[in-house]
Formats: sequence, structure tokens, C-alpha cells
Amino acid sequence: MRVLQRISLKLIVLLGVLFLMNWAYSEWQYPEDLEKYTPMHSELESAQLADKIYLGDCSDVYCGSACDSDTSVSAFLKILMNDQKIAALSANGYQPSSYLTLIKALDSKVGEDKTIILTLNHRAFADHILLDWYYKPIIEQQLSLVQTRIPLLNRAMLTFYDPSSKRESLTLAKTEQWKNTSIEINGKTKTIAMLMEKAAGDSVATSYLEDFAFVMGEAQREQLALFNDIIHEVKSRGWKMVIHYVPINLDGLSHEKHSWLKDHALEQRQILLQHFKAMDVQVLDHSTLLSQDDFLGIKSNSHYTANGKRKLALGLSTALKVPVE
Amino acid sequence: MNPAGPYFIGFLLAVVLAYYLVPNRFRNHVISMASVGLLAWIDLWFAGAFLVVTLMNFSAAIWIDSKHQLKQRHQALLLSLLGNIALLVAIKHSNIFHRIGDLFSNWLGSPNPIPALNWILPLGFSYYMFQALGYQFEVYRKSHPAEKSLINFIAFLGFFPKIFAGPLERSTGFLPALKTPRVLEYDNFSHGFRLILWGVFKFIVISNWIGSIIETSYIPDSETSGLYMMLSMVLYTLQVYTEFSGYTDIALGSGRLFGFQLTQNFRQPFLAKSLSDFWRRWHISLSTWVMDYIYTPLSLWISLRISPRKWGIMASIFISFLLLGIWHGSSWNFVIFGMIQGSILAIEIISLRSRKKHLSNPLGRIAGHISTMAIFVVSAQFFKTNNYHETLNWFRKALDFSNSNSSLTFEYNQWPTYHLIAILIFFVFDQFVVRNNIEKWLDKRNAVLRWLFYSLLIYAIIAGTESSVQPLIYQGF
Repeated sequence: MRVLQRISLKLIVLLGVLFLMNWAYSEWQYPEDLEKYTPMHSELESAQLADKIYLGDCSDVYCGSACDSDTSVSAFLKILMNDQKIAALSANGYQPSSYLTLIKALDSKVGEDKTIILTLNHRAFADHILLDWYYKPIIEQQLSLVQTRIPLLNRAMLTFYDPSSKRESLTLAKTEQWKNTSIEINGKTKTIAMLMEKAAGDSVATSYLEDFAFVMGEAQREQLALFNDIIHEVKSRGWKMVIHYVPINLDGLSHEKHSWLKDHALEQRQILLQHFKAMDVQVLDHSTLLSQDDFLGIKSNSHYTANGKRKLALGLSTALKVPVE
Repeated sequence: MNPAGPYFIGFLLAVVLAYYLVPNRFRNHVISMASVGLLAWIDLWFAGAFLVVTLMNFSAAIWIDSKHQLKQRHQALLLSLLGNIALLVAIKHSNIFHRIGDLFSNWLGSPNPIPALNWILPLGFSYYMFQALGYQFEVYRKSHPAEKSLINFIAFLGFFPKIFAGPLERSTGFLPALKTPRVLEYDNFSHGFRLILWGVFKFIVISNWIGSIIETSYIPDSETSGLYMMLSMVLYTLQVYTEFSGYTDIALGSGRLFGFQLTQNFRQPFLAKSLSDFWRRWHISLSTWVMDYIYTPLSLWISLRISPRKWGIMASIFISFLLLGIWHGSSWNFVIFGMIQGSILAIEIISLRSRKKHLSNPLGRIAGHISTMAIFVVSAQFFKTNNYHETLNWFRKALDFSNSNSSLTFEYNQWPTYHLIAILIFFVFDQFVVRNNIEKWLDKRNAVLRWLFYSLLIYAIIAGTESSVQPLIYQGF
């Protein structure tokens, strides 16, 4: 009993030490750490004061070598709706899990009438995004510091986050899943590997298979559940939710030999739309809004040109019923 | 799973709680279940491999013990050793045969008929395998009878705090400890947590600081100056030390929580006067294992069967350290590492008399320290690179002073002064003040100073590192 008493006493002292440590950390080091390890921190601060928050991934911000302007969809939206406070929380590699963390990091008591515009990218349901081995661990680690926990614990989670082993395991999982996933196309069930073999040499078909060859089902449930959680979180805060379904380059699949891919894409789109409409949220379906000229390439997973991004922003601002200049 | 990470520490605390909640006679059951459970949690294959080795050695030792004639015992031991070595080679060195096949197929211009197996090495495989081999020897030598309780044997071989990278425990010490009743003692908790805290600090903080400094030097084609690469070479050795000794402290501290004193693996290795002295201070549990179970029988055999001359001892030491090198993995890098160690140790044996004279004066001692460190620092580079071509290229680049990058202006590298000073302070504190005995050092301090020290360590662990936890280097062996 005496041993337990001594251990308990030491535990109490330890708790006191940790309490003081948390205070010291929050006062002196936490703001500096936020700057250093959480690059989205300043955007989060702006978002806190905004009326509308655009949550986007590469579809918003991507600007590669073929890019004609680095103005993002959200930047165009800010220009078009300059009478409102609009903030963007967008980065390459953002996923529903990142969006959920970002929303939770916002103080629900600051700003009552917020509208969350959430990007719904068809590609977010692809195997390699579900098992993202590159961006997801990095972003998860960056977001450790803005989780709703005490700052010292957040810092500990950042220190002990192990992206390398997670990456390895996810890569392994990806390889396995890639081999085994079967999809039904034209009434026949084939594995993705078989379809890839068939599409060899056809870059349009291959890129489609890499990013969109899935049947919205069990494997995608985790991602759908995350979207559901986001909607629930936003609603529970009394904020408005808008789902922004961004385009796939369907024009790139207009050749007859790719018609089976286009049919497949439209089928999956229908399933997604039905799911979100049943969630009682506003869905802005821009999935077929753009034409070939608005994409940076012919592939179905191509990113958007500046004009394409401007069109999307225009569509958004119109739908949000704000006067457009 | 990282032994310095929150998952392991959380698991450890849960098991310690369960351990003291059950009566004494069930405590080894808790250890056994936790050990197999941890392996299964990480990977079912790891638990499966462990159970195969355990069952094989458990029954083999009973079989050896049942033989009463020396010749029969000898044959049983030989069979058991062959079985273990075959399993070790099959799992750890499986690709040796593929590489040999590669050599021949290149020569003959035909495809390699031996497939690459690429098996994932089960966690702690070589560590528990070596413990099992040592156990067979001890049963054969009648140091103790074969263990009859499978639970005790699993606890001995797989005690989870030491499963990642040792220390290698002897059956002569650990099996009797498992049979001794253990009670909840405050000192065990206090010393155990101190060791764990110090170990995590070395592993997470110091090792990461060093890692962040040397990282760029080891990127192929990086524009790093020769002098910076030399510094990185020294720091890499220190990184291996902080990581491995940090892990060992965590293992030792965890052992103390269960009431066990595990084997010390380090004793101020950077103060060694010679390479033989160094191996008495570095990875002690492995080097003494090699000396007891490879070097001693081998040198006896050579002196009895071949020649009692000095060269027999030299050959034995060379072979022993060559095997120690190969124990790390089936790569030429480790073969070269073992050969360097073996050759120099063999030279040290024949030059013992003349060296004794030199080591008696201060200058000679300093020369001894420096040359020992230089040998180890250079040979440790073979652990860092993937193959010996890479190692040689690395040395070539580091020594290429005609390269403009090797100027003293360090324009390509910002010297991380604060971290270097902190690492230097740590090194002096660890080697000259703490002397690999943090418990003793803390025992002499008063409570206020102790708690200030703990607070500093905890804060540094949580908020003092720039990058996340790296995997333990020695875990891969």
C-alpha cells in the first residue's frame, strides 16, 4: 500500500509539472510552432473571420508546368464576391479527413453565419487517394497542432507522428488493393490490372483507370462517411453547407473507343449525387460544366485552365446568389 | 512500432498494470501473452516466426537434456544448431542464394534460376535466435537443465521490452530470474521510469538532432563540403550510439518495472583505449555472446586440433568478428565491417606487449583513444549506405579536397551551431558525468534537482525535436 501511495504522489507531481509545461508551451512556443509546422495556420486564422470558407484540393490550386495562371478557383471567387469575407483552405492533397480536421480547428463561437463550400472531387474515391501514401501523412502531421486538444498534447502528437512507417504500410496496402479490385464494365467483371493491360498504350484510358476505375461501394464507404461527418459537424455548428462537385474531363472521353469509360463515369456520378442529395445539403453539380478547352490536357483527370477555374467560380458565385460584377 | 513511441509506452504500462494485478504464479503468463500479443499486433507473421523458433528450441533442449552420453548430447546439439542456423539463413539471409545465382547467371549469360524471396525479417528475429542458440549451448554444457515450462521459455526468449534489439539475455541469468517471486517495489518503478525517460530523450531528441544535421551529407549527389561530410561521419556514429543506447535504456527501464535487471549493453564506449576495449563497452551483450559461444569454442578447437600457436587465436577472432558482421545482414557492407573489426582485433592480440608499453604513457593513451574511434567511425559508415560501392563513393567524395565544395567557407551548408553545442554538451555529460548510469547519478541529486531534470527531459522530448520519430537502426538487424 505504501508503494502505491508513493507512486500516486509522484503521479500527482507529474501532472502538476505537465500542467505548468503546457502553460509555458502555450505561452511561448506554440505560436512559433504553428508558424513552423502548420503552414495552413494563417489560412485558418483568416477562415475564422470569414463568411464563406472554400475547402479545396488540387482542383482549386493546382498549377503545373502547363498552367496558364496561378489564380485558383477560390481566388476568383474572392474577386467575384468582393463584398463578402471569403477564405480558402485549399492545398494539393487535401482530402475529406483533412477538411474535417480543419473545420474542427475553427472556433464555432466566432462568426455565426458561415457557409462552408466543400469540394467534392470524384477522384477522392480512387484507391490511391483512399490509401494516399504521399500527401495524407504529411498533411495529417501538419494538422496535429490544430487539433482540439491541449497544445502540449498536440505537440507530442506531432513529435510522435511517424509518416515513414505509415507511408510504407499504405504503399503495401495500395499494391494489394490495386491487384484485387474488380469493377463491372459493360456487364463484365474485370480486375483493374486486367483493364490496365487492355488499355496499355492508350494514355487517356490508362489515366481514367488510374483515377476513376472504382464502383462506388464498400471501399469508398470510409470516404463517404468522412463527408457525412463533415456535413454533420457543419450542421451542428449551425453553419450552411454547400457541396461543390468539381468537373471531370468527360469531353476527353468523347471518342467512341472510350464510351464505356464515359458511361462508367456518369454512372458513378449519379450514385454520388444521389448520396449527397439525400443528406439534405445544397449540391452544386459542376461535374459537367467545363468543356475540353477548360482543361489543361485531354485526360479525364486533367486539371483546369485559368478560364476553367474562372467559370467554376462564376458558377459558384451565381449559385450562392450574390451579385456578380 | 517504435520502442520510444507512445504506442509502445502505453502498451508497456497496461502490461505492467496487469502483471501486478495477477498473483505471482501467473506473472510469467502475462509476460508471455503480452510478448506474443505485441508481435501479433505488429504483424501476425512476426508472432508465427517467433512461435516456430520457440517451439523448436524448447523441444530441442529437452531432447539434448535427455541424452546422457556425451557423444549423444553432442550430436543432439549439432542437429539443433543446424536446424536453428538453417532457419536463420532461410529467413534472414534468404537472398544470399539469389545473389550467388546472379553471379553465376551473369557469368554464364543465362537467367537466374533462384528466385528472390524478399521475406520481411520478423521483428527481433536474430536477437531471440541468438538467445535460443546460447540456451542450447548452456543445456548441453549442463549449466542448467532444459526448461520444462513453455510459458517460462516464451517469457525468456520473447520478453517484449527486449524484443526490438536486445539486449541478448543469457538463460543462466534470465530463466532463474523468471522463477523468482517478484513483488511491487517502489525502487524498481522509480529507477525503471528514470531509465525509460533518459532512453527516450537520447533516442528521440539527441538522435533526431544529429539526424537533421547529417541528413544532407547522405543524399546522393548533394553539394556537401568534404569537411561537413567528415563531421557527419563522426556524428553518425554518435547517432547510432544515442539511438541504440537510448533504446537499451528503455528496455532496461522496462525490465525494471517488471522486477528484472537486464544486461547492460554500453559502458562509456567512446572512452575505449583500443578496439578490444571498445568491444567490451559497445553492444556488450552481443560481443560477449560472440566471445562465449563462437570465439572460445573455436579457438579451443583450433588449438587442440590444428595448432596451439598465436595465429590460431588470431584466426578465431577474425572468424568470430566476421560472423558478427554477417549477423547484421547479408550484405557485403557487413562482411567488410566484420573483416575490419576482426583484422584489427587480431593485430591487437599479437601486438599486445608493445601496445601495453605505449598505453602506459598519456600520449600513447590519447593516440589509442583517437585511433580506436577513427577505426570505428570509418567502419560504421558501412551501416549507413546500401552497398559498398556507395560507401566507397561516399569516402571518395568526403576526401576529395580538390572539389570546390570542400572549401572551408561552408557555403553549401549552414552550420547548425546550437544543435552542435547541445550535442557536445550531451556527449560530455553522458560519457563523463552520467557514465552510462543515470540511476546512480540521479540517486545522488536532491528531489528538486531531480524533478527539474525530469521536466527538462520531458519538455525536450515533447517539444524539442524538429522531425518525427525515425525507425531504430538496430531493429533492422
